[in-house]
Amino acid sequence: MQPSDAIAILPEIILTAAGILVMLLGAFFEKSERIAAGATYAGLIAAIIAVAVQFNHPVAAFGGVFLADSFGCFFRLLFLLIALLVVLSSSTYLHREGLSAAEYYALLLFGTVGMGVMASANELILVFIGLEISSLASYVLVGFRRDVPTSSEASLKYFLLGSFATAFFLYGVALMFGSTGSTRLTQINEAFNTALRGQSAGTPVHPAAANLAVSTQFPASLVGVAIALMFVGLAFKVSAAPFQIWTPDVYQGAPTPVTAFLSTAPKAAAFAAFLRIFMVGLGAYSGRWSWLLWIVAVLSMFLGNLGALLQANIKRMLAYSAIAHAGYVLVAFTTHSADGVAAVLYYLVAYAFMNIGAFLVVTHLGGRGERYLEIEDYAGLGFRFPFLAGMFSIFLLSLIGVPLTAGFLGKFYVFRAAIHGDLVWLTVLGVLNSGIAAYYYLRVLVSMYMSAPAREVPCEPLRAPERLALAISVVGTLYLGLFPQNVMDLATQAAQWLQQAR
Amino acid sequence: MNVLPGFFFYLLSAIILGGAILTITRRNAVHSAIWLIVTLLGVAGIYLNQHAEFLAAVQVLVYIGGIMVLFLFVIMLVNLDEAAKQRQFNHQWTIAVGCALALMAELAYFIVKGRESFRFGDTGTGTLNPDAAVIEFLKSCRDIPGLGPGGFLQPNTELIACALYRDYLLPFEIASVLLLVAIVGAVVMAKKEI
Amino acid sequence: MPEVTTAHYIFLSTALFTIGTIGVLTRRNVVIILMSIELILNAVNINLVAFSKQLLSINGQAFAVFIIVDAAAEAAVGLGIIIALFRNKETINADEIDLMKW
Repeated sequence: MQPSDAIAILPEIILTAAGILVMLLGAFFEKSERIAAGATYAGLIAAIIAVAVQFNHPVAAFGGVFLADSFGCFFRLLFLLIALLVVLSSSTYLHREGLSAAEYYALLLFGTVGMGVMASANELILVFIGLEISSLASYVLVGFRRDVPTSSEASLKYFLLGSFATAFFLYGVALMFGSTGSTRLTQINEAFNTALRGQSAGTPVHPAAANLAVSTQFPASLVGVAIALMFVGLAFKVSAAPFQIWTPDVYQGAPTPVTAFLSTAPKAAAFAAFLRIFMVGLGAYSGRWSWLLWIVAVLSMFLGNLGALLQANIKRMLAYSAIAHAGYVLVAFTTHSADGVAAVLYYLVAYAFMNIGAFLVVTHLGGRGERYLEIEDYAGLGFRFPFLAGMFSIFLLSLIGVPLTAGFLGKFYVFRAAIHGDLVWLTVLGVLNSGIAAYYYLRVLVSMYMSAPAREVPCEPLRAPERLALAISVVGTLYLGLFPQNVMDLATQAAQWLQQAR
Repeated sequence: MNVLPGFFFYLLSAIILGGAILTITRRNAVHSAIWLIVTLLGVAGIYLNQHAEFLAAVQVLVYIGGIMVLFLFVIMLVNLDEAAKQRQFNHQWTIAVGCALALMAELAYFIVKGRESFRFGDTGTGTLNPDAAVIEFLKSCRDIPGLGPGGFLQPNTELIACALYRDYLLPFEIASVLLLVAIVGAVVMAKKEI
Repeated sequence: MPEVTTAHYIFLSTALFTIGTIGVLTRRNVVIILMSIELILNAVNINLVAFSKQLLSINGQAFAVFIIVDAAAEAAVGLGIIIALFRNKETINADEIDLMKW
């Protein structure tokens, strides 16, 4: 290990150290909530600075296992930002529900470490370790309200299905190792290119044949199975249909700030790994997987939006809408072009701001024990709490994709990339789905401003951390909707970096 | 021709698959756990059969000695007598078995199609060397003549150590975070009062 | 007796993978579902070791070590979650975990 290696993973080192420190503080101080939160903020901000410094100095650390390139740094910044917003919006919630803050923050920080590793990994083993760190932290965070049966249930469901999906992913990785002789993404790509060149010359060779004394063929049929199994595992993690069954239950049962976290950070991390594996590692085989993406994108959009129409619980509705939004991201991914990747990155940032903002309002209105989560409870909100209702409206309008908000430009870039990639049918279906989606978001808006309250819903005033988180989310949502250029430039830079890496 | 590896392969396969089937069909979870241990021992035997001695030892020590003991503890903690008397399979089990068998048929088909590429390296002709740098490194540590006879990955433990501390240094370090998360998570979930 | 090739090991692994999948999909007892997932992870390891030998690359075996580490971590967290659920609901049957539906 060289000094430059340590610098490349400095953000992860800082976060791990901060996580351990937070747990120690929690153990030694009686009233540890504020101290733990302070240490968490300090760790996250230090890590953000460490990533920002790296942004323009891409390095390959640990012999090419870890790539701190602009693609990885883009995602790591996104995860850190999400973690910061979630920590800001959790402190009041944790106090209200009587949950132990130190472990909560520590798990959040460790989860962020895992995601950062996933986004920068050039090695399937490292992707897998990062995936497991973020998944295990998520399973525990989902079940963090330990006295509430729905929370434990959600945790167990997530755990069982999640480990099952990981096992599928691993089986795919093992077959990939067998057919290409490597787990390093860039080497897998080289192996494919060699094999394809050999195929066109009439002599298919096994990529590892140079090391072996026997002549062997390239096992093309195995590669197909490996791709399919890895696809299933990753599609589960981004909650794309038909692997979305867990999403509504888990999002409903989890503590609301954790739901905000789950719907943005681990999902973005899974997309980062998805993009890197499929664009860099399996880019030569795009013909074999782009049609899979097409089907999954369409199914996710339809199942997500149609499911959301039927919901009475706001968390479940947002869970179904999360499936649909994963579908929009997959539309951009289906193009597998630099344009498309940039659109994916932009959409994930936009979605993070608007979704965390929306969940923050839901957290606040939910009250002690998360009692007020029905859409009925939002009736008349516009008259009783105009400020909160106004904020919620902005986030919902952005989720619909109304112009001047982040959601609109996100969808615009996605569909533009799809048109440029000649995916006309997919674009048509996507726009159709945006129309369906408008209905259930508008239903909440209408109920907020046009109907009388069904029952008395108490609401405490917002505390300072929540105000700050809300302000950041609103500013982010509007800024991305009005001045997309800066973020889009970064996204394009990251996407081009990914294209070059092939 | 040496028939022993073949004989052991079929014997161990029978133990593994038999144990696995019994694991998923037993009514009592303790019996399932015992059969799972038999399966895991069989897998350790398969590792030995392929000269992966280090993994075989880890399999016995960590998997059977650690993980399975944990399973047995939990089975004792959550009282399973009640569960053992109830229905063991869910209602969709026929569909599930059908799907799984279809999956297996598919996998098997592709493997048969690709089996030309699955022959072991010519095991008679001595030292095949996948990575000269590893051997250089090993030689600098101790006087090792090279890979063992028959192209097996020998000395196994040294080679794994080399891979773990050289190529996979970062995953190895990050795995400690994984274990830390697991410790914190298990305590948070299982403890009565935090 | 015919020579044992890598394909034999892969077939063994496929069979174990299938048995594990059937276990996950059909059993009601979540502890046994967790054991079935362990079966699948072992199938992955058999694959990795066989490929490792075929390709004369130690990396497959190193990967298998990581999978065993992960299996331990997963089992610890999973069993913790099962205990938490049992405290709340007094059941470990997968199809009685049904507080949330559609």
